[in-house]
Amino acid sequence: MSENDKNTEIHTAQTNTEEQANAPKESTDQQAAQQTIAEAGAMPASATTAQEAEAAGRVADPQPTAPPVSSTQADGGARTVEDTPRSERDRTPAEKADAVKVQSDAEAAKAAGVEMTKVTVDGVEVEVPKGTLVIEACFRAGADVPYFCYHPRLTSIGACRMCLVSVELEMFGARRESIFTCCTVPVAEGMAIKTRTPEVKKAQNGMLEFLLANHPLDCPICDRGGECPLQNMTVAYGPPTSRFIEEKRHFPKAYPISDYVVLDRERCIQCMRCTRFCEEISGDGQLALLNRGSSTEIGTFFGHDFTSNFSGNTIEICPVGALLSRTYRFAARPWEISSSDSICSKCGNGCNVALQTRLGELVRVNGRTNEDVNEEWTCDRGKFGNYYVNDESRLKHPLMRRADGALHPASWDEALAAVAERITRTKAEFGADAIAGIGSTRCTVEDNYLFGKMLRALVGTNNLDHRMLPHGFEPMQTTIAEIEHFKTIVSVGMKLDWDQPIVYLRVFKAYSKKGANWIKADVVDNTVTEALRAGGADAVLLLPHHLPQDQIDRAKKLCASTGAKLNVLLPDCNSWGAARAGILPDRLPGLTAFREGRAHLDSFWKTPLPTASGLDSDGIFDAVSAGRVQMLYIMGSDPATRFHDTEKARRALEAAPFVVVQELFLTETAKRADIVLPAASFAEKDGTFFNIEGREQKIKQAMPVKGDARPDWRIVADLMGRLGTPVPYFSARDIYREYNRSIPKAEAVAAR
Amino acid sequence: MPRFTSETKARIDEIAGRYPDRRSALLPALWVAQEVYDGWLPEEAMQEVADHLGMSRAEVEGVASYYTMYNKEPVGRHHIEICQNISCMILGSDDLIHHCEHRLGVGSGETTDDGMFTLSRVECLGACSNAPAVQIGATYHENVTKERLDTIIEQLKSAPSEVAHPAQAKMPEQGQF
Amino acid sequence: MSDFFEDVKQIAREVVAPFKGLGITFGQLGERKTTISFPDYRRVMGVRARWRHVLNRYDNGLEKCIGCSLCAGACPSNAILVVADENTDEARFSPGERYAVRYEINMIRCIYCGFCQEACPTGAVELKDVFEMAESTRHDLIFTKEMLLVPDPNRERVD
Repeated sequence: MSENDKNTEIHTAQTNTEEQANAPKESTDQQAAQQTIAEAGAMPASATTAQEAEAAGRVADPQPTAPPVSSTQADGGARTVEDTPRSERDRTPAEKADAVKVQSDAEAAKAAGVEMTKVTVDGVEVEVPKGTLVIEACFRAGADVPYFCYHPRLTSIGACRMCLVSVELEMFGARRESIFTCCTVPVAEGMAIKTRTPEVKKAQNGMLEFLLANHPLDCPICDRGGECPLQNMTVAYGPPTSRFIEEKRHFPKAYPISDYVVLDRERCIQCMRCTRFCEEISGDGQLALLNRGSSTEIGTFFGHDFTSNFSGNTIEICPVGALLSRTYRFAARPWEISSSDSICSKCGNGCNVALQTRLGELVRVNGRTNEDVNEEWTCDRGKFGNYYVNDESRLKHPLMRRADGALHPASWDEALAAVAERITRTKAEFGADAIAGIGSTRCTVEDNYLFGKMLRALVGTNNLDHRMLPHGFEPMQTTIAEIEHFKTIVSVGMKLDWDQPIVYLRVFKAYSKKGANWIKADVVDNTVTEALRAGGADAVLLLPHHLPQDQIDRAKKLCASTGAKLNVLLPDCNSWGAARAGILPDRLPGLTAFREGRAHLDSFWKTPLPTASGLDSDGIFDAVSAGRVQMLYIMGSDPATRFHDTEKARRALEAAPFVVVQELFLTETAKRADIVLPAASFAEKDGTFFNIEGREQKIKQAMPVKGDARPDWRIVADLMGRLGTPVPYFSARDIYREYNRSIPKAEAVAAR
Repeated sequence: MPRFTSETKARIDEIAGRYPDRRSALLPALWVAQEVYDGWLPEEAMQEVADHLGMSRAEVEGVASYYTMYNKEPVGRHHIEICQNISCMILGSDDLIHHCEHRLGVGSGETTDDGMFTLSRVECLGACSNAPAVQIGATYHENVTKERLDTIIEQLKSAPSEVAHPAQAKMPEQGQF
Repeated sequence: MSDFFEDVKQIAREVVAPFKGLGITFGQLGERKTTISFPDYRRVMGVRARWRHVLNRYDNGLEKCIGCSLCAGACPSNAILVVADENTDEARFSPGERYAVRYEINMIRCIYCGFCQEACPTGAVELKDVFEMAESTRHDLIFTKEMLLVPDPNRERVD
């Protein structure tokens, strides 16, 4: 018998006798187990006697070292307060999210009919799917296990050694108990897991002392301080002082490894969460553990830039302050931040994010969990690209073009009166169709709906569009989450990880974890055709929205013939929302066709709508240049740089007698406007975004509006009041409710 | 400037063919690269290995930096590796190292100016029964004394082409990895 | 009957009372005064007096404050605002990476509990015995970092 086995058995014997004293109910089992150990008898005599003597001594000890709660547990009682060292409020949001994820995974597995295993955690019996890790069983039972390297979305490697618990199991004819890192051990039937025995406490305590041996303890200046798992765990489980008096290891502090991320190697505890993230989730593998022993450090390949578009996530999952954001650097402490749940505005994927502000400035964007969209990840575009809302160059006052031909600040009253007067005059002189509106894929549904209502009901024109490309709309045929189940994935003509980051993560998940075939192509060509043919109904084709129409048509035909699913991915945060709000020359809110929706809207908006289809954006710019359209009203859009034919757009903007622009910045379009109205950004207003799959998600005001700017819907509502119809909108919610009612019910459409 | 020829790549592919997973061939592939890149692994070498095996470059660097047997800096024609672990240490490897340092005029881990010798302290060479052990290139020298070491060095100086560089030594035959 | 005598006693007491009181007054005339004529004379504060805050410096002139906001976090009346920034080699204010670019204490909000001093990991903020902080506007009672910092010992005063 090896030395190790002996120790294990001795250990078991001790624990059992102790428990015997406290837990009469279990005694029969344990006595039997103990006998088995005694019978095994392969230990050298001297060792046995010494150990027996010690064990006996400990049993005779009048103050048993086992925690007093074990008697209640043995009686099947619930876990008590002393048993969990930390209350619920001491756990970080990340820890809570992990526990929720474990819970939902277990439920999904149960629903999928995975075989269940019964284990007890601190006397509480739980049923978990077979193959669950012990740490997950502990979470399910409500036990508190300290951990750093474990993450429910990454493979467990037991790198931090923190999650030590005692596991007791029937093995080789005896009940054996030993201390394991519970994130690497799968459950087995009848396992008894104990998370708070004195041995476990000692082991966890010792582990933290080791982890802190080289940790610099500069928490007061560390951005992670206050929300740091290492800090939390040390308070709850760690030693109050360290026995290490030696000099700690030193690396350069705050070493920038990219434009967004700084690395503090001194603080790193080598949990390898970031390297596993890069390898398994984002797939670029740009971070790795370099060197060995005490000089082990995280680094990129020969110090090259960490260029991954998902680098921000490593900051969020780092359990210490080793990887930190450069944009958030020293901007705030966690307790000073106010956080509001919102949706990222940088692309159409619709990541759920938390906008965190301090002193009226956006300081940080963190991911929120939404299993259907972004799981818990965000991309760097979203994480570091939303700071434009803080920009000092944002418009703060309405601007009007005065007699000298330059834009000058004006009051809201003056500007809105001028716009209203001009609308009335143009309508009287040239008719309603001399006014055209361009909506925005970056404004909310509410903004766009109200904009459409103003132009259709009050002005009386259908010259209304938001598209910058002359394309139709193809709804996605799958959801983002479904993409990971396809066996063949074909992506065409885009840098998927930059253009559609969250879709990319799903595709990579399918490719790396589920063995899907991932084909990348530049255009819809024969490779694509062959791949789709081979894939059949188990294939999905991902197209960017900016592909030429003939390619999209070809792809549509192809998918229809092979049974593959076609996803045309839209670019902007509310591309779908703008269309659904009815900012199209031939569609009403809810993408209803005129024929189906007009009767409903006539009565709902209490005004007869124009009958003929209006001009689309190309037509509008042509008509402006031809002099048929006298006034352009542009809300939150920048055709001068984003229209597919920018020359045409610029010509039209210069030719137009009167241009009104609602914008955040003085864009190329705004520079050519006669009146510029400052709008609130997505972080400063409430509203709704529809992401590329048509999912309706709410954004919430996170910070006060900059300067004199107003939310777009508020500007339009004010203008509607001046045009003669005071409108009772006090919040975006009012408008959203009205928007929903403006869509004719499906039955009503069918009946007509 | 990539140095992998189609022949090198074929060799790596052959090694990779022995494993179910291509990345398992990383260690032998790094040996091949070390051979191609004059006995050490510069950035380009790791890059080529990573690209050829379809792995992330950082991971390759991580592995290469973990193992001390891969040279991360250029080495001389003859790489003298003196074991400093316990058996050799007790039998006087420290003296050997100092002697060598004096004789070659370089410190441990350094290369002589003429690019002839690189001196390194290494961990156990697995020759404890005949300690102290010194590995020069692909050759083991056991029961080494100062005098013997001097003779070996003299021999190497006079007949440099005889003893191969560790990385230019023959690759182990199939099945040895 | 007894009531009558009680009344007489009461009247007698009331007649004597003012003289008793005056007796104490005249008795105190010879004692030392407790009030002082404040602007001309100042009382020595106790060693643990907690009044106006100062931000200390190290002997080499660097600020002790590292802008960690722990004082602001500990403050029960939310009187402290700290905005931190990064030290560079060109502009170094404190040792280490972080310094306070803004440090403000609202002296009318402050309850002088000294929690900030207790929370400070570097001993930067300290409540001293200076209590004369009357100002005529609320705004003037928000003390900025420049007002709170002790003078740099290595720099000569240019007044």
